[in-house]
Amino acid sequence: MGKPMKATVVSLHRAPSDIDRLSDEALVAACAVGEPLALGALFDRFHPRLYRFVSRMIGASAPDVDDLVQATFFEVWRSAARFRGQSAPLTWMFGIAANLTRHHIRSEQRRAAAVLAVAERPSPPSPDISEAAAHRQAVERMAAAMEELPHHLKTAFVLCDLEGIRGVEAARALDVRPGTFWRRLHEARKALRATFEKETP
Amino acid sequence: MSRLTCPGSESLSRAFSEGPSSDLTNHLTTCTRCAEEWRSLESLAATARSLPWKIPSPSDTESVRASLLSSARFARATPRVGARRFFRPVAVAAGLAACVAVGIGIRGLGSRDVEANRATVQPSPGARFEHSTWFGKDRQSDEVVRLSDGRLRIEVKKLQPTERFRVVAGDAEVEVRGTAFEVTALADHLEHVQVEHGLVEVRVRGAPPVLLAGGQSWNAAVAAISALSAPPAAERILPANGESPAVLPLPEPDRAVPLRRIRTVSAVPKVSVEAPEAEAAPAEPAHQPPEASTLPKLNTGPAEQAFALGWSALRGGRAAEAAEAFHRAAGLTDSPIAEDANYWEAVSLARAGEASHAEQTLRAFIERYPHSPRAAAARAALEAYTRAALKNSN
Repeated sequence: MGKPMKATVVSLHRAPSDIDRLSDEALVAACAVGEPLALGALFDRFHPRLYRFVSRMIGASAPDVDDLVQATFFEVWRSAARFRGQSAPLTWMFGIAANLTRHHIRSEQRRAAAVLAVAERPSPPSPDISEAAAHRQAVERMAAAMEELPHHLKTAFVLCDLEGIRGVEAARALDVRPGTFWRRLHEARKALRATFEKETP
Repeated sequence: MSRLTCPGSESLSRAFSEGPSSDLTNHLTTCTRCAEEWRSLESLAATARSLPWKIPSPSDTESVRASLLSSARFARATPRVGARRFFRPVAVAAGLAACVAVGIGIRGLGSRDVEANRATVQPSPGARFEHSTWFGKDRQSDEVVRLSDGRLRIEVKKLQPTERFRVVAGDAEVEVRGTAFEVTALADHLEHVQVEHGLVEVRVRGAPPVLLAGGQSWNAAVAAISALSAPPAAERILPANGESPAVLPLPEPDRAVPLRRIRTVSAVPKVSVEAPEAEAAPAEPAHQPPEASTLPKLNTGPAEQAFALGWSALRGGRAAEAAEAFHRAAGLTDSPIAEDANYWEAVSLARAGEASHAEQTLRAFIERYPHSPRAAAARAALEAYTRAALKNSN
């Protein structure tokens, strides 16, 4: 067979099976010994959470969310044997996704684009806008402020405040000391508040 | 309760994540400045949580999943603990490259029937499978359906010499040459193949390939039992009632040789026989039992005679009769062929369709001869029965 020139992959029906009843840790262990069904089960179980995390990390409008989510699961597959259970599998996966998004942002110089986006953000709201419009604009300001955050601060904020991961566990997943994590989280909140309140009319 | 002084901003921030202590809760009711900062933290988190995030479409999700699993097959899960971190980005990049290579042209389908280039796939409800097609140079193509669970009915149009169509389930695959057939898998194991018309080749790792024609079928449990006999490649048990684990072994393409049916004697290694040389044996037509004159002339002894009768019956497709004969031979515990007879009894029972009896006999065989060269294969057959039982219970 010659070198593949084109591939079409279609995945269709899936029904619950025994592997879907395994614990998260057991699925990771199964991945470690090369069981592709376990990877599929992990994907089914955690894809929405990881997708949301990555989307929040690089922006909802970014076109690369799919690629990063796939890369995250691929790294989970490759690194499963190194999982030591020091944090929940999902938190561990968040840590992998955070690392991949950091590399992605660096390579794509996304921060520069973010600065540009901030510069082009909508003008401040008029005083007599409706409550719904005010909320929408607050969210837009928050999005802009989030994009300005350095990656390590944003990771701490998203993990803790948006994904509800406990600080100690998040610190383990990111391979930093708890004190470092708390400091990052505090700095993230301070920076966001500063940006957010500065923009408030 | 001691009166709490205002905590620092960082402490308040940490307490906001971990939950406030009772002292802090009381403090927040009395300290305006801290309460305001607390509310500010709450507002910040609430606003951030309302940030929009991209919701993936089902078809995109399916595409990512399929691409991920395809690329995972190219890269083993890396258990190299302590590998230098330097290599991680390189490996990730390689993986991503594989993902991209596989993912080109990804598309999602929502219909139950897949009209592929040359095949129509009709899955049973809940079947788990992926379908991919590779196109190479010179009109080469390889269409693969990876079946994890469930049943598929597949109809494939006549293929050109450069075209392939395969169904892969675990470490087994079914290759098609233009046919209609049904294939079933359970927990990533090939379980059953039923051919309606045309030709299908079943290949299971560690076993010779099996060619099925229209009306014939292959079953993992029966195959496991028959495989444990491991007679020489051309000396497989003939099918009974169309249910055949080894209808006709197909030689490897690069070692294609005319099939030569060697004589019964070659499958009875522990019996002292006066047998002609296998090379001198005339070729027998497939699916035909050996002539009576070709049966081995055994040394005297009731066990050997019973064994020979059992083998003759099995070759003639009379599995129940064979089982009885082998049972008699196995019961003569002083006989040196009791072990083989016990094993062949299980095979005969399986071929007679007496699954539960065959299973019991296999268990007895393993218990009685735990160190037999056939014990591992017998255990494999038992596992196949267990899987089949699980399937039936589900």
